Amino acid sequence: MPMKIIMKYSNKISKGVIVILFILFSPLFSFSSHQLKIFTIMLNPGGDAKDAGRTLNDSFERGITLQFCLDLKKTIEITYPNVRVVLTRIPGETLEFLQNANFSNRLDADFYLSIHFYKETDVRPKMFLYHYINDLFYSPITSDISFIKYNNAHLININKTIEYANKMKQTLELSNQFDFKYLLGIPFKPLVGIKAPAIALEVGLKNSNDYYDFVNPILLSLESILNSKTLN
Amino acid sequence: MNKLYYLLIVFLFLIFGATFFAIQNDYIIFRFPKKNITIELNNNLSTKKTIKIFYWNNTKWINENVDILISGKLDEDISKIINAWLNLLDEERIIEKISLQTALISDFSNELFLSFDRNIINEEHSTYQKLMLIESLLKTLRNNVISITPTNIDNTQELEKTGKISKINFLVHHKTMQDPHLDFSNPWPIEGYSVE
Repeated sequence: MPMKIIMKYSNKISKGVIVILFILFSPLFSFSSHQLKIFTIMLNPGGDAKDAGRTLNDSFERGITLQFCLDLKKTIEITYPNVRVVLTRIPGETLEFLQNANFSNRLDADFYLSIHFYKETDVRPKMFLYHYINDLFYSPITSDISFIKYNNAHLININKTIEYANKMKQTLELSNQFDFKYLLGIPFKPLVGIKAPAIALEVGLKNSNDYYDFVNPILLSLESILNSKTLN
Repeated sequence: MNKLYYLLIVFLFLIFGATFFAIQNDYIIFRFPKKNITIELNNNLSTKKTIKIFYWNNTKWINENVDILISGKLDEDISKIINAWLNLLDEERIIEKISLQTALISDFSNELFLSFDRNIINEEHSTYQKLMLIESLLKTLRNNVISITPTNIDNTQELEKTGKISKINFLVHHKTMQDPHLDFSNPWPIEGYSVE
């Protein structure tokens, strides 16, 4: 008797099994090798409403870095549609110590870039890259669960930081527009407490409007990082 | 009898008054015998030493020899080295007139605490210039602290400290030095961070 029922409804049963199997295994098919992943970059313009930064001819560092970051953000978003760019501040905002680090860590940013300018006195503008270290003999933190002092947060992704910094350096060294001087690991205060790979870029400007000339070289230097990360 | 008595008293007071007058006007001087005083000689005599002071001039290290007097006490000698460094940098117009208030060595952690009367860093400079200023101080200390060895060999505590300073804390008026780009909340290693 059961056999007769099964035989009678075999078509419907087989269709039902196929549907169930499809529902169970469909997530596997949704990930193709060319799926694009959102990559979050946090840009930190140096200075804030309270700290104007260094003097650059007729303006201050905080205004120039913000303009630069807005231009860079626009350029990145046009070139890489799957990259999300977030700025750490808006005009007129005052930042507290570690506020940017908290923001970046909560947002789980994939990359943190801090932009700084100073008044260049030499003939050619100079460029420096910095990443944060506070101990010459550091060990990366590999444990997923551990209590880490805020000023050791950089150790979580220190290897990736150095990898990204070297990639940027390789591209920036080729530029004829400026002299790329050094990539240094130093206790650079704006990068304290950030978990994501965090790099600071400092450029000497002869005139405050020269900042725009650095947008494309920086974008090119980010290419090797963004191209590998925006594809799965 | 009464008259004799009065005459004697008057005569005695006359003598007393004349004696007092003579003492007040130094006609009569009393010299008391003095106690024996021995003077202890300080064995830690200062000696003259030539030290090398380093500073970064845009693209290269420059050093100059300066003579200072060392006393054998490490913290005092470090103070003299740093003041010599500050004076030289002031002459070269790299920094303004700044003086070192205090130099102390921690007994427990071999850390050196330096407190200045002003911030030695110019906020308008690039981070690299600021870094090299600190590096020049560290380089000067590295190259000279070992050479300053107390001559008094009985001072073993000082000898143990010689050449063993590993970290330096930078302070201004005994509070952590502040800069928007360099973090001084942790002590800096005496080796520095620079690649130069």
